[in-house]
Amino acid sequence: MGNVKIIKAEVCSGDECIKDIAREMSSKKIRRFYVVNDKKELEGVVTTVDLIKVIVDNKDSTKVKVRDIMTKKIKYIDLDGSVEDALEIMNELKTFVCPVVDKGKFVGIVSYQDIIQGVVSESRK
Amino acid sequence: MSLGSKMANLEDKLDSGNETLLHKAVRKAREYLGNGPTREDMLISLKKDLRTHFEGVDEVERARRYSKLEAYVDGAIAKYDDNLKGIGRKIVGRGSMGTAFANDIYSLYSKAPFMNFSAASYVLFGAKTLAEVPAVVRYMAKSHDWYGLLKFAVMKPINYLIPILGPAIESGSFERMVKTRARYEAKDRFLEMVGAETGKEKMKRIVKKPFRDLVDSVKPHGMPSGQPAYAF
Repeated sequence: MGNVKIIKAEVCSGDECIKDIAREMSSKKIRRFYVVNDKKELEGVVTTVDLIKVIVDNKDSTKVKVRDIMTKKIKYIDLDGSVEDALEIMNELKTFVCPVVDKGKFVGIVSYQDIIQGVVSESRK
Repeated sequence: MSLGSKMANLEDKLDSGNETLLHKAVRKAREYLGNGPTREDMLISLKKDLRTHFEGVDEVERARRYSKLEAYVDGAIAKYDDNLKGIGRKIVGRGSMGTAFANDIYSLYSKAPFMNFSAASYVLFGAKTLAEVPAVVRYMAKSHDWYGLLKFAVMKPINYLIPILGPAIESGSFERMVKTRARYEAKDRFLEMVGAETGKEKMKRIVKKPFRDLVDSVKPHGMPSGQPAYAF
């Protein structure tokens, strides 16, 4: 066991209307919601940028569903994959956080800094 | 000086058992505050880290290993010596952090609104950061110490926000990063010399492990306290 912490992330269903999501993002001060299905499988991610696009396109936010605007086929870290793969994915995505999946089910998110720190502290053991 | 007395000298100097509590406290504090560990501090902490490599060998070999360790530490310090100099950076760094520290103390004493004194600190921190840029670029070209840089950069905004203690921690942070690297390189060379797994080799082995081995639990934790929620 190492010391990298998986952080709980906000999730929603693809059928939710984006006005509700925007309200939640505003009250919780978060930038993204991970979209999961009934089996907890990761379907996509919806971010504040996606919400801005809805405003720019003058769409009715009460009628647009998360599924219509979310980014599909997102990359994620598999708990059974190697640490090297995880770092490669984060480098490729140029992001500081990445979703984590265990046996196909969404678990949470992990930060780049935490992974690097985890690798370094393991090497010092 | 005979080999025996040379070894006794070295052992005396390096033996953590001979270290007073006060010295130990000062050595530990130097890792987080001020200019970082001295050469002697590095030798003491390295001897602790590498103690298994000094056990089970004859006296001659032990003396050879001690002197090799000393030589590696000296070599690593010499390698980064010019990075640690930089008069301009030191004057701006010390001056700005000293002023920021004094400003924070005065503001607390005079009960000035937080925004007033934090604004002055931001300017002083900004000046220090700008003065450090050329030194950091030169250091990175030589060391490729991405982990050190990441830690150095991540800690900067946090130190910006902490009144009083922030400037104290930030002062000398560059020197601490460089000395941590020098210590790491000396340790790696020593491990290579004794035929043990070096830090680099260990790192390569760790990144091949499954990610599951690196996490503390599959059950997710709540948002870390003090972490701005929007960062995620």
